[in-house]
Amino acid sequence: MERVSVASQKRRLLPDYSLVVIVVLLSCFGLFILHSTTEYTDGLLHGGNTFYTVTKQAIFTFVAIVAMMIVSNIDYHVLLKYAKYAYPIAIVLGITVLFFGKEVNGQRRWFALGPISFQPAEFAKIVLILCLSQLAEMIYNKLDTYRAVFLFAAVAMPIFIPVVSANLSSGIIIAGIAVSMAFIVSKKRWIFFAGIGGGMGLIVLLYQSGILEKILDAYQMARIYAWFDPESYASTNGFQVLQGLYAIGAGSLFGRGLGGSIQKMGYLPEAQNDMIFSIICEELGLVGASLLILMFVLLIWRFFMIACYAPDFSGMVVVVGIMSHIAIQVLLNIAVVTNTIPNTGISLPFISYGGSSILFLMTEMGIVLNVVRQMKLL
Amino acid sequence: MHFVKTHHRRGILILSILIIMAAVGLIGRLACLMIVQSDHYNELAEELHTRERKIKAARGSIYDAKGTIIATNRTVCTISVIYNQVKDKELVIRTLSQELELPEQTVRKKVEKYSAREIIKTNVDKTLGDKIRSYDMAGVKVDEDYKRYYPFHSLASKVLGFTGSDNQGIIGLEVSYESQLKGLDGTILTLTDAAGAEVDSAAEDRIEPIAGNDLYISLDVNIQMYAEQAAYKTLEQKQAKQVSVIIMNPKNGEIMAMVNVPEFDLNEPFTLPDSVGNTENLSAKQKQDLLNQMWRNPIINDTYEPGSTFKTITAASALEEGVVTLNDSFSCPGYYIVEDRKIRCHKVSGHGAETFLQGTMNSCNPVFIQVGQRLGIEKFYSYFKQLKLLEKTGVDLPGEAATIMHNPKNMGEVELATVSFGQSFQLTPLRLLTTISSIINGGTTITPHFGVEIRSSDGTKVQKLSYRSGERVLSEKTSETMRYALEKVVAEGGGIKAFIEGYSIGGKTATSEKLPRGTGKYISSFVGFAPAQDPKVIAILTIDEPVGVYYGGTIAAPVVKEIFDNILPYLGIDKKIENE
Repeated sequence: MERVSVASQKRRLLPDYSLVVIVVLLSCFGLFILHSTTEYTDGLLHGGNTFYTVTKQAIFTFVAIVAMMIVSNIDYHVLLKYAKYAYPIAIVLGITVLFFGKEVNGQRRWFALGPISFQPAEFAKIVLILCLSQLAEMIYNKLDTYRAVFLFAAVAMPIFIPVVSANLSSGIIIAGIAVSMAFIVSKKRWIFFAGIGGGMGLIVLLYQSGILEKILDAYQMARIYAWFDPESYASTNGFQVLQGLYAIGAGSLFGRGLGGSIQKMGYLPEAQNDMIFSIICEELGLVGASLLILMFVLLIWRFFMIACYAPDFSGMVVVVGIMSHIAIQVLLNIAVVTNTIPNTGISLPFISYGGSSILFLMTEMGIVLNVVRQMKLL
Repeated sequence: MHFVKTHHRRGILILSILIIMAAVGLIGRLACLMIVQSDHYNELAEELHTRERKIKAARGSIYDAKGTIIATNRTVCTISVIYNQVKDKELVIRTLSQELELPEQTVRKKVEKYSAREIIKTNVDKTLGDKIRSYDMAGVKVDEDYKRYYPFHSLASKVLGFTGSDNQGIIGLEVSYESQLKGLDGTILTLTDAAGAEVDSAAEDRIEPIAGNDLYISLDVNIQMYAEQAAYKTLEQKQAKQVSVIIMNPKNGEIMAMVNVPEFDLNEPFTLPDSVGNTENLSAKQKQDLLNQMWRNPIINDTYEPGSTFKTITAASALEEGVVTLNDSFSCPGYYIVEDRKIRCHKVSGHGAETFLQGTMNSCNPVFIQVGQRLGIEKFYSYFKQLKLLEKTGVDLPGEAATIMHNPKNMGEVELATVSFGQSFQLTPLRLLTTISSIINGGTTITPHFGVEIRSSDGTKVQKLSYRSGERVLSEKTSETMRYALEKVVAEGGGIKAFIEGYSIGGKTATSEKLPRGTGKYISSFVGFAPAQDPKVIAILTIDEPVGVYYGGTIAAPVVKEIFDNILPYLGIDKKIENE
């Protein structure tokens, strides 16, 4: 870092525009769709104020973008250094929410702080990404060993366990992030393929032998049955997915047009949240939905470039962690909505309604932008 | 600080490729759902989203012989509120309770109820509905609907019938011509949200209704009114249970009037008459029984013993068979013995020596017993068949009762004797009138009916209704003889009270004691026709359970006279200036 060219100096000052453009585009698109999704129900519930939900989300988004700009100015090395202090906080929050969280639909996942509710799992994700990055940095020379893999698991577990106890889907995301990050830094890649393959085999085996039924809660099993045949469970567990499929199927190639969704009129539960992708399908058709997926792919490609040309190893690992976080959430959300996997509540990054979700996502984007700032042109 | 190594980059590449592959896979999955299975889900979704609403087809109107509307539709409004669209609740509550004259409490409860659509009031007059619509209050809907309306209220109530809430005929012509009058309902497919509220902005699919056909009937409002007035007067004077009248064209069976008093208001068919008294404590079944009683059309739904009017059939059969002539002489000692039974004549002292014509004019039972004996059971019975007495008339009204006649195998001399003067069997007044029509119209059958013509609502298609008729059942000669004999009955015999100066009227009276005998309950009746030599109109009048004098010749004949006096000039039948 001693000899810095003029060009790279300029580069240091400007964050990666394409990344910012993609994220802002996604967020704005998200607000449009959110308005379209909620205008009818808002009109009914909030005395004709069709902008009720979207206004709230716009404020959250604005705050989140400000947070992103602030974070992008903080050296990520500093964040990595202090991550170890956040680590116990994440664990404690994860455990306390199990006992003192606000109960929604029989599950405690949220802290209610006045009008703002906060999901510790969101916080846990970012802490995990930072801590694992710091860990990778610390054991850089021993990354080739099996011990490194175990260390990764040992750091991830205390965060993972309370989160998965509260919320299976967040647990899956956390596990996915940890596995992806370990996969990148470790040379023992076959372990991961073997692990994933073996895990899948084990689940099938457990299901076939009927043991899975005993491990999972009854509501989770019911979701699996509904996954196989939603139309047979149309009024119970298959209801939400089936309503989503109606919306998707109705979309056809070009959709009903922006604002034309019918399923949003109270038919589709959580239309503004986990199921928003089906409304996108209904209104914008296969073309619109595919374009949105392509936007996400573009985002992943940007992450890939940034990770490859990160200024140092720890920067790369952080970007990979954030990339896998967003990618996993997008893929799982779309997979759920299209009934490709059993129903589990995962929101669509930048699009779904939710204040803490967008805030943490933008914070992560801020970290990535800081990595970009410190990049040297090769 | 460490550096990014190539194998790290390879790892990121593998991860990225896996992610992109998954994304592409999901696009494939989407394509499968949105293209291949699109129709399937679309169909299911459509079923979920749309609500089918019926548009009532306008029911066809009924017109009388002069083209007067006697059954039609009135536009009524249904006032309802849609909770989500109401802006100024207080204004809506105040205005609606004021205009609809409903207590504010009731309206408030409905307006403030969270529901997709709450009906405030139905069957609101169109002018009031229009007024409410003109206030243009958000969330208040005024829907128009048809309601059957009978401008003459109780006129011919049991003939016309009425319709139920589903616009379907319940009794009378409304039932007989249901398929013609009904029309074809249309549908509106509207988009609804999950709560079932209609989405205003959405376009609706409409299938227009097809209005029902109009029915033109032979009933004439004026004749019906004359007859009804006369019947009500008699009902009152004689404190009778009911009085019925049929006025028909004996040549083609077109019924001009059919009265059964007391009638009921067709616009309030479920309101029992005041005479029933307090109906609050009645069970649903009891109430329904009373309603059915009120709706009943006894002149075709109930049978009775015709009594002496049936002598026309005995006479016609005997004359046709040639077993008697008008000049054959008989003698009446006031009774006649058949086997071990002494059957009395109504004139206890007897009519003495008389010709058959005189016996007919006197309505002498012994004469007709002997004529019946001359015919014999088998012949007599074959004439019943020939004159269609054992068949239903085929009138275009529902619920016609069948004749109850002895089986010829079980008929003995006593039965033969009683049947020959109209006792010991039952038929409907309409059946009797129809057969007498055949006897006096030249000897051919007719089918009594109301329906003349059916026209499409726009008048473009006209369908004439045809009925079975023209079968010869009696010779012209016998028919002429009968007309002559029956004219004599009115001119000089028992029917003299139906005589009108200047008109030639034929007829026959009857007084039949109701079963069980000895209770003093009678049905007095009279059948009359005019002009006697070329009958254009025939009428039957029955008085059920008159109080006081109960002889048909005394109480029924004058009523028919009164009716004829009114309607004959109306029908264009002029008085003849007598030469004598």
